[in-house]
Order: sequence, then C-alpha cells, then structure tokens
Amino acid sequence: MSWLARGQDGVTIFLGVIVEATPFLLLGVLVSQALALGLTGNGVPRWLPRRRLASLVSMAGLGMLFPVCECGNVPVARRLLGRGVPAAAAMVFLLSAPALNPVVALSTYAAFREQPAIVGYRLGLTFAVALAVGLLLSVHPRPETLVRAGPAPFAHDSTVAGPSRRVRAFARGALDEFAEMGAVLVAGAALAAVTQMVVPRATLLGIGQGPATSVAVMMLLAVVLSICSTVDAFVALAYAGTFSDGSLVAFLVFGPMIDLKSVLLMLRVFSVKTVALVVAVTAEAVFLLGLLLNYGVG
Amino acid sequence: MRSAAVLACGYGAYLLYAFATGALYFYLHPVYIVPCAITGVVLIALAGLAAGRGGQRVPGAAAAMLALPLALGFLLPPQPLSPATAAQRGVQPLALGRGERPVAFEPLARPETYTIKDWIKAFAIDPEPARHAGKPVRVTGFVHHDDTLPPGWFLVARFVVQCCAVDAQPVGLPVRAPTPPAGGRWITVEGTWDVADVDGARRAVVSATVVIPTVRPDQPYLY
Repeated sequence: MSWLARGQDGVTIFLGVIVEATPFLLLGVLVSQALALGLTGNGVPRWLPRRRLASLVSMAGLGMLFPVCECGNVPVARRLLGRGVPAAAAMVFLLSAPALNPVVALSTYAAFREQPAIVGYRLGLTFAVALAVGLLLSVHPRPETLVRAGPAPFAHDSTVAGPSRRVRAFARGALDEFAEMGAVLVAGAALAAVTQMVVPRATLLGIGQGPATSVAVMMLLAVVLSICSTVDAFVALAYAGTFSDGSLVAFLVFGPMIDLKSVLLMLRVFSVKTVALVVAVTAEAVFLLGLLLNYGVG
Repeated sequence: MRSAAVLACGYGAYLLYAFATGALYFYLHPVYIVPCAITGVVLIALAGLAAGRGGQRVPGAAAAMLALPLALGFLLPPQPLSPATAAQRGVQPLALGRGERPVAFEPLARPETYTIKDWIKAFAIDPEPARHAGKPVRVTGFVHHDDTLPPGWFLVARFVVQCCAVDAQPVGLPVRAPTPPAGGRWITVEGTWDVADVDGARRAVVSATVVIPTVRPDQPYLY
C-alpha cells in the first residue's frame, strides 16, 4: 500500500516539475524564435563586442534581459551559436543567465531578506564562475570541436514571402524546438522524481555538517533536485539553520548552472567533452568558493 | 503523434484539463496556475498556426518521451502527495517548513481560524507553550504517527508548497487524543492548546476535544 502511494507521489512530483517548467520552456523557445527573426543574416550580431573579455562579460549580462530558467535558456544559446557567437560566449550565457536575472535576484532576496549578503554572493560568484569558464573555453585551440556536431538548429526560412507563411514558419520552429527540449525536460523530471522517491533526504542531510562536506552535499543536492532557479532559494532556506552559509551559496550558484536536466539540455548543443569539462571546472570552482566562504574569507 | 504540432496540442490540452479539473492544485503553488492555463492556450494556438503539410517529424524516442507525461496525466486519476511521502521527508512537530519565516505573520483576532501553518508561525514568534495554553484550535490535516512522540500523541499535518510538489515540505501540530486515529486519515481536530510535561521538558500539545474524520480538501496543500 505504501509503495503504491509512493509510486503515485513519484508521478505527482514528475508531473509537478513538468507542469511548472512548461511555461518557462515555452517562453524560452518563443524568445529563441524571435531572436531568429530579429537576428537575420549569418554574421555575429553587431551588438556583441569583438574583444574577447568584453564579449564574455556582455554575454553574462544578457541574462538580465531573459528572465528564463535553465530549461528556457538552451534554445536561446543554440540560436546565438547558430548566428556565429563563439561557443565560449554561448556557454557564459548558459551558465550565468539562469541565476543572473531580475526574477531570480528578487526571489533570492525574498527568501533571504535577513541575509542580503547571500543574494550578493549568489549573483557575484555566478558572474565570476561563468566568466572564468568562458575564458577557459575561449583559449581552446580548436573551438569548433566544442559544439556538438549534428544538424543545424530548427530554423525556418524567414525569407519566405507572405506574412501567413512566416507566421506558420515561426510556429513550426517554436514547436519543433519545444518538442526537442521538452523530451529532455521530461527525462530530467523523471530522473529527479525517481531520485527524490528513492534516496531518503535524511541520508543526504546526515552527512553534511562539516565546512567541506556540507558544501559537497549541498552541491549534490542541487544536482539531484534540479529545481528551477527562480524558486531554488526557498529550498535553500530550508537548510539555512543546519547548513553553513558557504554551502547555501554553493547550492544557489551551482544548481542553476549544473543539474540533471540542464546537463541533458547542454548535451543537445555542446560536445560531451565540453560538457564534462564545464561540469568539472564549475564544480571545482564552486566547491572552492563555498569552502572559502565557510572559512571566513568572504 | 509524430508531429510537434500534435504533441504541443496534447500538452496544451493537458494543461487546460488539469486547470479545469483543479488537478493543478496538486502540482503547483496557486501563483503558477494561471500562467499554466495561458501556456495551454498558447500551445494550442501555436499548434493551430503550425498545422499543415510538410513539417518535420519528431524522432520516435523523443515522441515516446513526450507522450509519457500525457499518458500519466490523462489516464491516471490525479493525486496530491500522500502521507507516505510526509513520512519519508520527515515531519517536525511545530517546526517551520522550508522558506517559511514568521516575520510576515500578524496574530489574528480569532485563533480558531488559524491553519496549521499559522499556528507554526505563531509558535515561531513566541515559542513559550504557556502563553498559548487555552487558545482554541480548529485545524484540518492528515494524521501522521511518529515514534518520537509520547504515547497517545500524533501529528495533524499538511504539506507546505513554495513552488511545486517537488519542494513540498510537511509540517504538523502535536495532538493528544484518547483514541488516536489511524495514520494517513484526513481529520479535523478541535481542541485547545495545553502544556504537557514530557521527560521533564514542557511541550505544547493540542488537547483534542473532537477528532472528526473528513475528506481531503480540494486544495490539499498550504502555501
């Protein structure tokens, strides 16, 4: 009886994640298709600075214009890549935009009104880590191997004449992308629901009390829970009493960058090697920063 | 089912179906319910605009993946999180759930209208059991038994949801009743706050005068 109920609860969590993420996913593919309309031509967008550091910094700031969580950002990133934006710059956008946007800043502040420093650390460290990963990728000797080989992203032919055809092409492009990203979202939601039902929360919490282990455990929790960045601050707050500040910041910085569903989505755009490198570098950087905060350097 | 437009139409229809039946209340915080319904309308509209010959086909594996939540959502009766998950996540008596701070809580004139969450906030502001003693309580929740409670005690519990079911956190009030009801049942408890001596520590407990079996509310979570 209990197992039947647990199975039903797994379905409820599964559907809950999908239903909650679908509006954000739709928003993301609509922005992506609008970008495709707005960014006609084949060259790198003119507004993107040519100098390496300036272009990476401006990509990190781009998230401020897209209040979309990680599932909505991948279509936008791929669209930018399709327009010739370097892989390193697209990765900076992908890593920073889910947390560096006004909606997330507000929700984090709402959760941590009594510790506004947490909000500052979250935004500042997200910026720093994303920029560092971008700089690392930008010195890659063969940048073309960073991106996943495969068919070009769904792009409707916007040169087709007639407004009704263009509308149809826009809708088709959006829904093709919705289907492609949605399938990955479903897989991620299934994984998150199964993990939540199978791994007892107490198992994770029992381990993480020390300055180093708490950071590692909260990062692992961020990956396992795969919660949208707009709401993960409220989840982090649940551990505010028992977990170190460094581990909470690590959770808030790492979760929007790397979790089960964002990694699956990233693999649609970047090569396996790139994603593995980015996951490893991001994890090490966030772990060290969390550790530094715990030892009072911050 | 291999066309993106058909699948998107299915998702739009499912969102509107879940909206119309009230099932979204089992999955989401109410603030996301209207955006979900709008998403359903937009998806169906896009599917209408995209309909016609000559579209790309969705690969078989992706189509099967996308069909899974539609099948589960349409075919299974929607269920809110069950007390079994409350047991797995652990219910702390009178402890605040995740994301909850008592700062915004104004004590109300009529304590008998407090929800379980209101009471927990009231205790977070003033944890002294004696200052709550005698106040009338009338709350609805499910029964949760916990080995760490004294004999004859149980918790009347609800899930608190910040965003969606994935972050649901169970919260509960300790209740003392002559015949504790079976675990997992939905009940309405009427009684008053009392101070009990448990192993030398003073603890707040609801002394139940009536425990009424009830049906699960249409909105089973607190927010």
